[in-house]
Amino acid sequence: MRIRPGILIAIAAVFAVLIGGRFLGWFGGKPSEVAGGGEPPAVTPGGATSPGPETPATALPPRATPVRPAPVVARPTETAVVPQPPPAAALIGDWEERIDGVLTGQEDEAQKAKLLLALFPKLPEDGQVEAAQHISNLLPDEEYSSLAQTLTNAAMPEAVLDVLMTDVLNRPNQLKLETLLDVARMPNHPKAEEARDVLEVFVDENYGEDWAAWKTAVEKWLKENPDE
Amino acid sequence: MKGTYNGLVGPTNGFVAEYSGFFTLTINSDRYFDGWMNVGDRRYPLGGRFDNQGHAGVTIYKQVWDDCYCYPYLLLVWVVSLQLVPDTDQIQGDADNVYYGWSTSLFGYRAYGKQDEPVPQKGRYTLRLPTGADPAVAPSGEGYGIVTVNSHGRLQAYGALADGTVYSRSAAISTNGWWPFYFPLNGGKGALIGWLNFNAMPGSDVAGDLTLAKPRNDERKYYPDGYIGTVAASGSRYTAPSSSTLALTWTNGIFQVSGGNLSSPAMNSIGLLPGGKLINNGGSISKIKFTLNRGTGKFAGKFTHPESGKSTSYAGVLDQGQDIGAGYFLGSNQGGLVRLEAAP
Repeated sequence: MRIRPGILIAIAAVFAVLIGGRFLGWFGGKPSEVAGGGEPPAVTPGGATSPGPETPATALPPRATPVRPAPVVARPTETAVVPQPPPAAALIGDWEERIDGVLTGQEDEAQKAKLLLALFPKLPEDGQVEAAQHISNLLPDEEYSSLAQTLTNAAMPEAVLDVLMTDVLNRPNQLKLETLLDVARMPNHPKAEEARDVLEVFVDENYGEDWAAWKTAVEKWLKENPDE
Repeated sequence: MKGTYNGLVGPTNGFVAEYSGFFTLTINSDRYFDGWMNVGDRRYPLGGRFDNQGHAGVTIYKQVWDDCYCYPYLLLVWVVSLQLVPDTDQIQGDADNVYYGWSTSLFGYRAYGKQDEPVPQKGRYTLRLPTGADPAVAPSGEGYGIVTVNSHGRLQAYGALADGTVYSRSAAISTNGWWPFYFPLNGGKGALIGWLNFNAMPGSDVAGDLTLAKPRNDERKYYPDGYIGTVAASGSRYTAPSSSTLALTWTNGIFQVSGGNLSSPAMNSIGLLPGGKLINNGGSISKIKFTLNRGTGKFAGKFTHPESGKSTSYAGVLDQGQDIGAGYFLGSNQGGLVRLEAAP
């Protein structure tokens, strides 16, 4: 098949623009699609983008799709798939109105919880605590995994983790124990010891740092005591 | 009006496990609220807005499918009516299960909010859950709880009942010190439910009567016929000992077991050393192993059952207010009591 020279020229021109644009930093300010990678979001309250020249997005590591924390002891930045605390400039000033706006909307409970989760990275600590309380109320068990990611984020303020630890204790055993296991195995997580104490009562043994043994024990317990 | 409220669900004219549960809701400054109620092991969302008189209605539907499984439709299950009692921190209401045709009631209190801090109950507690039962009828040991109240009045509790059923629950303490406790058993056909209070009472820092109902289950090893009774729950603040301080005030004591397929109580002389280590000084129980979680006050271990000769696990908590330890063990088909106390 023969390609017309005009098409070749056009393709070459597009590549030239793309490569040149990259050098000029045109794509450096694209906001993250996955909130909470290694860097805080750069979106300002007004929604404008503000790429920092020192940290162009192209220099960032690839963003991971949200996943459950890997079953190994990991640094929080490796497992934190939900929003890191944002810089002060990115925080929403009228957070109470924004939360109320979600709560008074027409969406169903699960959808409201997801909207609040999306708002989470832009809230100051007080707002995050309040949002966490509402998310705990609204999020059904079937959707709990999205909240579990916040609880397993060791960088979250302790007041937020308090709310989420309180919530997880009222969840079905499967969700509860698997989430607590994820928390317990993170040595720098503020709630790791608390999570381990709860697990010890359930599996009737303290396996110390042997996380494979903890995991086996939790799985065995859940198999013998299925949620009804 | 703004704040978090929580309380219990239950019929006003008697206990029915399937009609009982727990509810919590958070009201914002515009009187909108969200929350949930847990009745018979199912969790239902509560949401809406209170009117100026503090009244709100909630309807809860469930999605069902038609006979050919072609189209879903919504079926009304609950009609809930809520009322904030004027000039108090109380909330009450009724929940009509229109699907099954029965009603139950809700009652609760406003929990501590930011304006109420500091929360005087903040701290760690151990909770004892004695049944006081005849071991032939129900487990005669003491269940236990590890309770933590944080600086905002949020409470977390976990532990085990005297038949080995483990539980975890959380709630918010009300401004007048009440803690609504609900744990569903056997898919909501049973429950451990009641109010505990943190206000100062002689001999304890938290106490209350809980109703414990375990339904019949022929597959259960222990007490398949089920049982119902009252658990006189009580607990004390817990201060973790260091490796060089005593967990209780005494060093010479006894380790006693009773019930649990024992024809008579068995006892050993023990020493309780700084840091919570136990020395077995001999008696009718052999091979006592003991471990104390200094952080929580929970102890656990094993001993050889004096009559069956089997290695038997036990668990419980130290009650620093009463200066004792109490817990449970399970014999071949009966539950028994474990106690640690100062030598007479």
